[in-house]
Amino acid sequence: MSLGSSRRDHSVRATLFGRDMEVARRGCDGDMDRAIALVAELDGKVDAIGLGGLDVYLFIRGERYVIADGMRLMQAATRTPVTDGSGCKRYLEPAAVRWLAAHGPVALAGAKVLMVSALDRFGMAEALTEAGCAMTYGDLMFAAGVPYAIHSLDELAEIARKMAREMVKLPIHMIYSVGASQEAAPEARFPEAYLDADVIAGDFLFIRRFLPPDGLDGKAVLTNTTTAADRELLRARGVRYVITTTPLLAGRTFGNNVMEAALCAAFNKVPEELTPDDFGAALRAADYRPAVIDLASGQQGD
Amino acid sequence: MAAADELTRALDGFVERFAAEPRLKAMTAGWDRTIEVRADDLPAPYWLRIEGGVLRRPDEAPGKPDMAISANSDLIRDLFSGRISPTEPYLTGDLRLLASEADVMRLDVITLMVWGE
Repeated sequence: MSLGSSRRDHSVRATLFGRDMEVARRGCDGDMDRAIALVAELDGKVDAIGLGGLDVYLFIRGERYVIADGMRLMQAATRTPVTDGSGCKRYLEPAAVRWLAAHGPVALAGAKVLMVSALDRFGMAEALTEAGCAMTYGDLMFAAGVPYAIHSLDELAEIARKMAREMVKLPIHMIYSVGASQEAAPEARFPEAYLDADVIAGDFLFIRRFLPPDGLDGKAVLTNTTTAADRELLRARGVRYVITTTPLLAGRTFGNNVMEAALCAAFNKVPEELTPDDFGAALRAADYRPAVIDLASGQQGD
Repeated sequence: MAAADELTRALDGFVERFAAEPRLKAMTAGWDRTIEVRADDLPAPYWLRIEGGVLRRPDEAPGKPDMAISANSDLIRDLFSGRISPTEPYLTGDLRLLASEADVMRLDVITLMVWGE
């Protein structure tokens, strides 16, 4: 279930975590009421539901913040496990960064990284910092239009403590790109931050929404999952590598929420029961590695 | 109902707290705004002016307002003295903001930087 466009709906059969599964995407075009009705309709009829296009939980240094609209959606189901993929963000995305630090193709140590949004993926922010990246966190810039770049995890966490508890109460459309706005042409915001970075990281909808028209030659984008049209947009604007943290499984990448929903279905657990060991075992069994695509050659590397 | 001087003290305290947080100068760079603050149960409005990253409370209207905040006097006093945050009264309609969504978001960030945690 995605708050994004229904135009990207599809269904696929795939073997995930050792189980044959049918994975279907249903977009709700930014309509919260429709999304709630769909989750209620699917409740008890499917093995797990992934919520895409929004977050429910933000985990920041031991604190958990609950996005009100996301929770409304999650509570529409009472029998089927529902996940927003935040477990994958906590465990899989740092693993992706560690893999990249060890294998390339982008040298992370010393690289300048712009995370357009880090409060929704603090684990990635921590892993990039540990890898020696020079970080710019653009949460205030891109989510609130405030011309203030954050450069340290400590300041990011401090500002999160001041703001997250209140921001999560706002309607989802005020804090996230939903529905038709996901497909609107990019409008450059703070382009200098993009141009200064070697790596642009974070939620792809955010990256795309404020993407500058040019000047991205040779840069890498580290994100969750992309479509062929997304990759063509990035290639046309000069980006060299697209690295998706969700692995290539059955010939395609899936969103964090889909991955975590599949884990719930495979392990017959609710998201709260999934442990770091479950994620670790699943990653090892899948010989986990992020998907690295060289847009210059069109080749997918290791 | 809060007295007029209580609102004055709350707004002046907010201006002081704003000045004490140096990052707000950068965060409001290029965002010059005149804000009308009106309590439904008091006769005269109050004014805030952000310019060049500095917030002040002029006694007279410094020009046409870019944003208007209105609520009852108790809520306005509690909001600017940090006793409550703006989000919930804004969502319930008790606090009314006449401004663009982008300006509302910016003002929310400023308020939380002043009073958050």
